[in-house]
This record gives sequence, C-alpha cells and structure tokens, in this order.
Amino acid sequence: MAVTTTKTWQFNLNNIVLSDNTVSGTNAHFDRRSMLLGIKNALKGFGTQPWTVVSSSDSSTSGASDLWVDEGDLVWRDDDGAAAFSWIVLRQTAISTTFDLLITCEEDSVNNDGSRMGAWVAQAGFTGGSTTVRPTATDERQLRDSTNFGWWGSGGDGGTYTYRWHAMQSTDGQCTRVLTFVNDVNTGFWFFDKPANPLSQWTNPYVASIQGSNDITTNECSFARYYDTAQGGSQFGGLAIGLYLSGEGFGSAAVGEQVTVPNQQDGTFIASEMGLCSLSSTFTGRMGEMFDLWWGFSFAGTGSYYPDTGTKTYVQVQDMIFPWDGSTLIGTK
Amino acid sequence: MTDPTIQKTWEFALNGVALANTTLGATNAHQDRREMMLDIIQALTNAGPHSGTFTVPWTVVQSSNGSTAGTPGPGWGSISDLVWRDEDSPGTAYSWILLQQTGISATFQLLIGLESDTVADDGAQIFAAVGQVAFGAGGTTTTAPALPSDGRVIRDDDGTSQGYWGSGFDGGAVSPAYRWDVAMSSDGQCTRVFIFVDTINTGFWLFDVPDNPASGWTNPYVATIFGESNFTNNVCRYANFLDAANMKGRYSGTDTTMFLSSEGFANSAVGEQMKSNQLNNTWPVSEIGVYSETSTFMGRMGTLFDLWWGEDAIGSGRYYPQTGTKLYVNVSRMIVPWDGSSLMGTR
Repeated sequence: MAVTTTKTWQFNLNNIVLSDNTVSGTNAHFDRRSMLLGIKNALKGFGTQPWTVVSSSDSSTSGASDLWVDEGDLVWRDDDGAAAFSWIVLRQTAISTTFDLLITCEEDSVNNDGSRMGAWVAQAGFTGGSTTVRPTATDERQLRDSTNFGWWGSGGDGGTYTYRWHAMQSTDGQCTRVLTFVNDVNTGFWFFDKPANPLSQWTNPYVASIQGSNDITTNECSFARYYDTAQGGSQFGGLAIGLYLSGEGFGSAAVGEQVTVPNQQDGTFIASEMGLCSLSSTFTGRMGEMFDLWWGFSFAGTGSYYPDTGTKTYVQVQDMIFPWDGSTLIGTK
Repeated sequence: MTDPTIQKTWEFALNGVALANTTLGATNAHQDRREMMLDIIQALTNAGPHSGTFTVPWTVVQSSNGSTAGTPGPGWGSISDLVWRDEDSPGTAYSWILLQQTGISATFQLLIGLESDTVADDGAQIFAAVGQVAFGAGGTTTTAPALPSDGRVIRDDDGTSQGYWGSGFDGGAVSPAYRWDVAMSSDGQCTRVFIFVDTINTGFWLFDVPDNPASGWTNPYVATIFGESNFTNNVCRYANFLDAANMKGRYSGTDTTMFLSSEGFANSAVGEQMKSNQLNNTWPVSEIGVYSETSTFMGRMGTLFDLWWGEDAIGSGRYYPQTGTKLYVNVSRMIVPWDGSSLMGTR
C-alpha cells in the first residue's frame, strides 16, 4: 500500500560508536556512554524545535544546565546504593509545555557496565535532584526500570559492541524516534510522540517508549514488542497506562505477519496504519493513532526501502516503516 | 471510535418474516424455508408480493420450478415452485434460478440450486455458484442448469462442504420462524442478506464489488452465502470471516478465498479486545479489508464498502449513532448501514 507522511522530518542518521569496553570509574563501557551522549546531543541539535536540557548531573555537580559534555560525565551507579551518579532532564515543549524526559545512569549492578538505565517522562516538569538523588515530578511515569528490564538498546549486561544509531524528529517537535543497532539487529527503539487524532478527553496526550533487550539478537521494532504487548507508555487522568500499537490483521495475526510475499496482484508491500489501544483496567479503548509510522511486512525486514523507485523516502526497521532521508540505512560497522 | 461514514446510498427490504411451518408437500423442504427463500429472491428482483424497490435489482436470467425451465423460465412465483432434490440424483427435476446483477459486472450471475446432501435435510442446504461469463443457453432443463466457464462455487451441498444458507438444521421437525433483511446499494454494486432465528444471525449473503481493488484484478467481486447448521451460532462473527477465509472471489481464472481483516492487536481484532471506550463511550469500529492467502494470489485485494467490524460481545441490535437515528446496526459483530427502523431478529 502507499504511505504518505503527515509531517516533515529532520534526521541524524548512521552514527557509529566503535566497540570500546573502557570503564575507568564510570561503571559503564565507553561505547555505551558515547552512544547515549551522542543521542542526547542529537536530540538537542535538531534544526527546528530541538529538545532542551532542563537540568543534569555529571556525578560531580548538578544544576540547571547540560553537564554531559563528554563520556566522562556519564557515570553509572548501582541503584541499590546512594552513590553519586549522572542524570539528565530533557524537555520537548511541542508535546506539551513541560513534557520532560529524565534519564538516570543507574542499573541493577555496576557489573552491568551501562547496559541499563532508569527513564521517566512527565508533563508537570521534573524538579530537584542532586548528584545522589534524581529529580522528581508530580506526574512522572516510568519508562525504564534500572532494576528490572532497564535495557535501552546497548545490548546485554556486561557486553561491548560497535553501535549504529539514528535519530529523527518531526520539524514541529511532536514526534521523536531513536533507533539503535548492533550487527544489523535493531537493539533499541525510543519514541516520544504526540499522537494523531487523540480522544478529546485525553489532556496533553503523549505516547512514549524506550525499549531494549538483554541481548543483541532481539529486534525491538517488532510485532512481538508493540503489537502483542502494551509497551507504549502514557498517562490518563494521572494514572499510567500501557498502549498497544494496533494494525490491520486477520486470522489471529497482523497482516504483515500473515502475508509472506509482496501482493501478488500488484506487487505492493504491506503498510498498515498504527492505532493506539489501551486495555488498562479503567481506560479501555482506542486512544488515537501514530503519526508517520506504519506496520510493515515481516518478511521484508530491516533495510527495505519504499517506494521501489529508489528514492528511499521510507525505510523498514524490522516490522515498522519509518520516514527516511534517502540515504542507505547502516546497521552495522 | 467515531461513527462510520457511508460511501453508498442504500436501499432496504427489511424485517421479512416466515412463520414456523414444517409442511413439506412434495418439495422436500419445510414451508417456512421455501417461504424465506422465495421472499428473498422476490426482494432481490423487485418481483411478486415481497418485491423490493431497488434501483438496480437483480434480474432472472433462467429458472426452473421443478416442472418447467427456460430463459427466463417460469420464475418462482409461489412456494410450490421451490422443489429440492438430493444432489446425488442428478436426473431428478428440481428448482433452480439464475440471477444477474449488472451493478457488479455486465454479466455477474448467481445460480441457486435447490439441492441438498439428502432430501431428508428438508431444505436446509442449497448449491450456489457465481460467475461473470454468462451462464448462457443450454441450462434450460429442469434437471441441469448451465454453469459458466468461470463459475465459482460458493455453497456446496455435497455433504462435505455443507450447503447451509441460513435456515439452520438439517431436517427433523425443527424449523423455526425466520426473519430476513436485504440491503442493496443504489448502484447495485453491493448486496447483503441477513437471516435471523430469534436473536441469532443464522445467515449472511454478500455480493459486492470491493472498494480499492488491487490493480490487475479485472471485474473484481467478493461473494459469500454462509449459514450454520444450528440456531445458536451467529454467522457475522470474527470466527467465520476474520479467522477463516470464507469470502469467495476469482482472480485471473483461478478461485480465491479471502479473509475480512480488521484493525487489531495482540492477535485479535480490536472489537474482540475492547468493549466501549471508557473515555468517550464510543465503540470499536474497524474498516474491513479483503485479504487472500490463496497461493499465487496472496495479498490485500481491497476493502469492503460500508461494512465494519464492531464489538465482539455486543450482539445484534445495537444502533449507531447513539442519538437514536439508527443509521447503522450491529448484526452480530458486523456493523451495517440501516434505514432507521428497528431490527427485528425474531417474530
């Protein structure tokens, strides 16, 4: 099927971080620190409507500025302790006036070497924080738990890899997506979006996710991750809700899982609009849709471009189709 | 979700009734089953006491009433014209009718043969086929209607494929009162028949030109006549059409079967997963796509006009919008355009 973007997009693609397991007092491999630092800088660096840094800690100092200047400023701690650590609060006003993302460099054990993090979003703005205590917000909603499943795209605990990562943002700032790769496997997917056609009762709607796995073999932009389980995080009425990314389906699976070849009538590929559906106990229903993100065709896999004319206006990452800038997606070194 | 938007103008022949009557006579079929079949055919063709008022009605091309046959033949004027036979007795005279709907294609034809696996089925089964190459001359005997070169069986009475068409059980004394409803788009491109016993939707017929057909699909159509052999299972449900390929079509000379897709997640349709939206009290409404998994014809074939998947547990008789205008109604899990009247699924 044909797809058409609703928004215009800006890109920061095909970044590479070479494998480097140097830890040197930060409890995290250099390559992981370098990738997280790069992603932060990419989010800050978009030409229009970039994210801004509200506050941060480099474990030595904390305050209302961006203290993450180089990899040495990203210091992890064991989340069971009270040691000094690094954190950062980023703000995207296009989602709502004070839509904030807090990332904390914490993990279950310092032997995880930076594979995990804590992450929260909030719309009331994060305040406070010191080199030993993270900021908080009255309406914070956790996306990543450093103790349980805190993987963010850098792979398994203790490992060290060469990473590729890509960031893209709509020019109005309403939609931000980050993709990480190791050896052509899509090891991480982050998104922070204002949904399309949200229910009118949903004040300051957003959907957000940071997903990774404790390995480098799991593709995150998959039906298993987002169609079969409610991994889109949001809030309604002050309560956290999980959202499924719905798509067209039949016979107990999505069409992109059912159909294993291009359309044999006209050669077209699958591209199914994504809805946002909640089964949270008191908020059951369809909440809205995703802008400019589609379910594709499992069989095609990462690196399939659309249209077939070679313009690479869209690219498939595992089971999802993203807007693209015409370049070739590089997922490995 | 918001209420659906209708693309076509719809015309209706609704709330027909055939009262319970098991009288067979020499027809091998209960009277109420003959009555319902006759009424549906008369509605589709704008003929007889149960005539519809459709802008592009179906026309009778050929027919047999078990005694005579021809072009257009005697037609079916009364219930005694509907005579069933055992399909294993091809030399026995029986009733059949060949209808044409030019709104689908120039010679889109539907053959209904009153045959069942055994005459003891008492009219519970039929044979039905559709085709687009005119069935033509040669089918004017009381024992053998013509089949077109591109005929495609949609109901088979051979006992394996089961020819149930909405009247429920094989044989016995069980034959209830039926309600039936016919809806047709004013351009003739879409025809739907719904059959009810009490509140159960026991039959669903559909003959449609699909919307947005895959390019290369010449004279596209989607068709089904589907019934259950009981009075307890609704036909217009996910199990029959989302989970199973019970829509029939034909592409490039080969028969295809098709699923009716829906928006979904976690391996089920949204209508199966969710009840009313707890934020705005709206109900799941999902566009219906048409997908083929027939080998060599795999892919999305199109969408259906003015038919939507609805909420799984709601059952028949919920109207939309909720302002009371009854522009749409749930028939089991499907949502169909309606005329503002009340759906009467029972007598």
